Amino acid sequence: MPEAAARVPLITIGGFLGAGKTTLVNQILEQAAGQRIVVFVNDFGAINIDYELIQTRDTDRISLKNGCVCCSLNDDLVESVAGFVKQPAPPDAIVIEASGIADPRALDSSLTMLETAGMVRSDAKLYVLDAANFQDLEFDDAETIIDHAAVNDIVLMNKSDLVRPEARGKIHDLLSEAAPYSQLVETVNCDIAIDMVFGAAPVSNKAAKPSSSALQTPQHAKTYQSWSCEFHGLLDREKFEVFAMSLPGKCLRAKGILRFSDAPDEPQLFNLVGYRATMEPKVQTEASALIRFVVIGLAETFDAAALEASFAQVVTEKTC
Amino acid sequence: MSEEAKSRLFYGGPIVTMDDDAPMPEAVVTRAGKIHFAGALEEARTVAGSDVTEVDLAGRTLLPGLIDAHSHILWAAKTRGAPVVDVRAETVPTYRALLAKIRRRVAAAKPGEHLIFFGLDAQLHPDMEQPTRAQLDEIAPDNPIGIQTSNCHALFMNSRGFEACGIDETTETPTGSIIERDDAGRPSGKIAEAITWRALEVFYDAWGDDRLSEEFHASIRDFIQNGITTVTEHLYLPHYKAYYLSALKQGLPMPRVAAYQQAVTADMQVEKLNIGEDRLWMAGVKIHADGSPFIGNIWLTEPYLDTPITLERMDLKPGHTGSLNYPQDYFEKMARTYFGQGWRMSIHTQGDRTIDMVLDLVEDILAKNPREDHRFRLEHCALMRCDQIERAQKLGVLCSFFINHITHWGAPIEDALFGPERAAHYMPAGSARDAGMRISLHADTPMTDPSCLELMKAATTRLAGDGRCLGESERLDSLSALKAVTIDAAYQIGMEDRLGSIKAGKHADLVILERNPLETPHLELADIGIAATYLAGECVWTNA
Repeated sequence: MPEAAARVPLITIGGFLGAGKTTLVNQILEQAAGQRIVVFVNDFGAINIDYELIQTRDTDRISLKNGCVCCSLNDDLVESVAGFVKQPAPPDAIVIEASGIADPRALDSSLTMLETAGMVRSDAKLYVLDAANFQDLEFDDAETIIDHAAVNDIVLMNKSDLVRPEARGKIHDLLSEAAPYSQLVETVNCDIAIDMVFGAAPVSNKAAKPSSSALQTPQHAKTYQSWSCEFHGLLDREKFEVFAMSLPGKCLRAKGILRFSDAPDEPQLFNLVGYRATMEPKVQTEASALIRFVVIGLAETFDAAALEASFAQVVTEKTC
Repeated sequence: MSEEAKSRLFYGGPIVTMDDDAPMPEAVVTRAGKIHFAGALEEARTVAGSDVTEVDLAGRTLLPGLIDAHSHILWAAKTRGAPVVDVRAETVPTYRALLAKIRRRVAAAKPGEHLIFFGLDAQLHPDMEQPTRAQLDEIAPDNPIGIQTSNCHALFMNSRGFEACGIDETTETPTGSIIERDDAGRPSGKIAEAITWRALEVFYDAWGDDRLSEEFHASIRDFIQNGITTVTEHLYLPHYKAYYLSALKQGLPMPRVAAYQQAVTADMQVEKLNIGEDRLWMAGVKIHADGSPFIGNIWLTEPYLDTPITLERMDLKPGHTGSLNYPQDYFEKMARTYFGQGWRMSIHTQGDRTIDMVLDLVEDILAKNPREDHRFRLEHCALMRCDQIERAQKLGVLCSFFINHITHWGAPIEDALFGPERAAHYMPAGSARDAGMRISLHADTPMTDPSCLELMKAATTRLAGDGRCLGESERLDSLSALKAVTIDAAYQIGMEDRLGSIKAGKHADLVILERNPLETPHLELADIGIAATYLAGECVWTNA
């Protein structure tokens, strides 16, 4: 079995027809910025990629110049995903756009199989909800969407520019009860920051000190905020677990390479999306005792100073 | 020529017959609804003659039609079909979300409309509280509503619901049932066991026969699409018969139904049904000796764990060891009576102390009235101990395991209800197989969805939803698991001479799978595609 840390993060995108799933796929491909992403799409014909970006185009596969690949979602999803993961240079992430009306859980058994085989790590489950059309839906359709939204980590309330604030408020209230383990983000043209989709890669070399910054996205330049830190040291495991449990609600994403005082030589890869956190051993690629941690959230609820203060309580040792 | 009388020749892929005499023949010929021949392809062509439709398996695998030995095909339609609202924790993750969903549905209801919500779960809804009648009255003052637990055994109702069902302070609690009451004797919200199912019938009746027919069709489709050609109706009641007859009359591909009539008293009439050519027959009598591990009414030698789930959400006392559904002598009288009438018995047993009691009874009955081929069945068998398996095997008692408990509730079974030692032998299918017992596996639909391949995966992996394994030593090998949903399941329902394997003379119930389950990794079993289902030689479903 491959090392846990070599598992490729896998992201799913659900949502009714017309909600904006394909728009989100396009956003991801455009913002990839050096990451090699493989996307499986349900409606291959609807993908509208700028001609300039395309390297080759086959009947069921488009290769982009930036290294990303877009494939048609066929019957052999497990085999297709395995094919990419087993390549000598596996992709940085895999994205699967689920079919329009289908229950998002329909993908679950394939995902479990890939996870158990050690090939992928189920990362964010995204759901696109059409805010403009939601209020006019029949009761049963609205309930189906609510049920589907509830099993996802992040729900994009898309086309939010087309509805009044009161209607947005209603959707917020409804989902905060019905989908308590999903985080809701308002978007226009699915303009969610790519770091929110994939979790910011905590590998930048510049952020040696704690820093917070606003993320740049095309339309919503100041919607998101992040806080990150990088230092040599160790953390208290129990205190970190308490800290991690306090994160949902304060942020959408957190990610890091962590080292704990009870096992300093066993770095852990931590991932949190919405309300779901995972921790797994990280393959030791460097000798240093470096800790890296990054948190991303919505600007209006984000409190970088408070995060920094609570994280400081978790640190037991810091050398620089 | 009618579709059923057609002759077919299957070849071109693995043929897994589950018949030890000819386990992997090259070809199979069906004729007039029966298996006509299984053997070499050349001989098959000679036997089949010219008027035959050849079916090229093209590498796919032919198996006998799958059998779920404990299910409720009509009751599934009643219980789960629209307009029942699904509130299981898989999509409605908290109790708060569940109440919100009920409020939304009530707001959209017609005046007086009967509403049922299925899937309240003390183990999986983390903030669950027991709903009270007063609380439900506030949510739904004008509509009869009921919330059924996901294990089917309990129902919470509002005042309109109690009124509709005719249950009030003057109602005596039937033996074997539970009505929780306030100090004045007025029902306070919760009812459990047999009275639950009686009360629900009031709601199903209110929705009318058209609804039930439509949902019954959907239920039939659900089983057939999963390659299941024989099911049981494990809570059969006499008035169900009309629905099966109507389905058969309409020519619907209803799987064969082995009915087990539900007994709640010792004086019920059990009809010696036998409709069509093995389409519907009375296989035996079912009695609930105890209830559900998930609401606390099973009888144990060792108590439940004391955890927030057992003490708060399930509302049990510390050190709870549960109890039987009926007073012991009442239960024994029922079992002796129906056994005495010659019926095969199917007893719902979950707790080990219940199983002790039932095995004592079987021993006594057989000592007084020896019967060679009694096939006494124990259903579900969650907490059966190893010594009890040995004893059951000696007595000729058979176990049918509700293995999906592990996939659906594995984590709370271990952490919140019974602890790691009991969890490691929960639904001990491996021990029963090792003891030489002919076991079966079941999904108990509507409690979990119909799929014999999911049962095989659950039994061979014993993986809970969160990825943990509950008792590696109790895992089955693929062949044992496949037997438990084919030939050994047929044995348990008393039809091993006509169903459960591909052998000349047996019914031509067949399924074509995209992959051979005996050569598929255990984790992938549930994802094998069903290519086609044949019932009595007739192709009743294909994925093409």
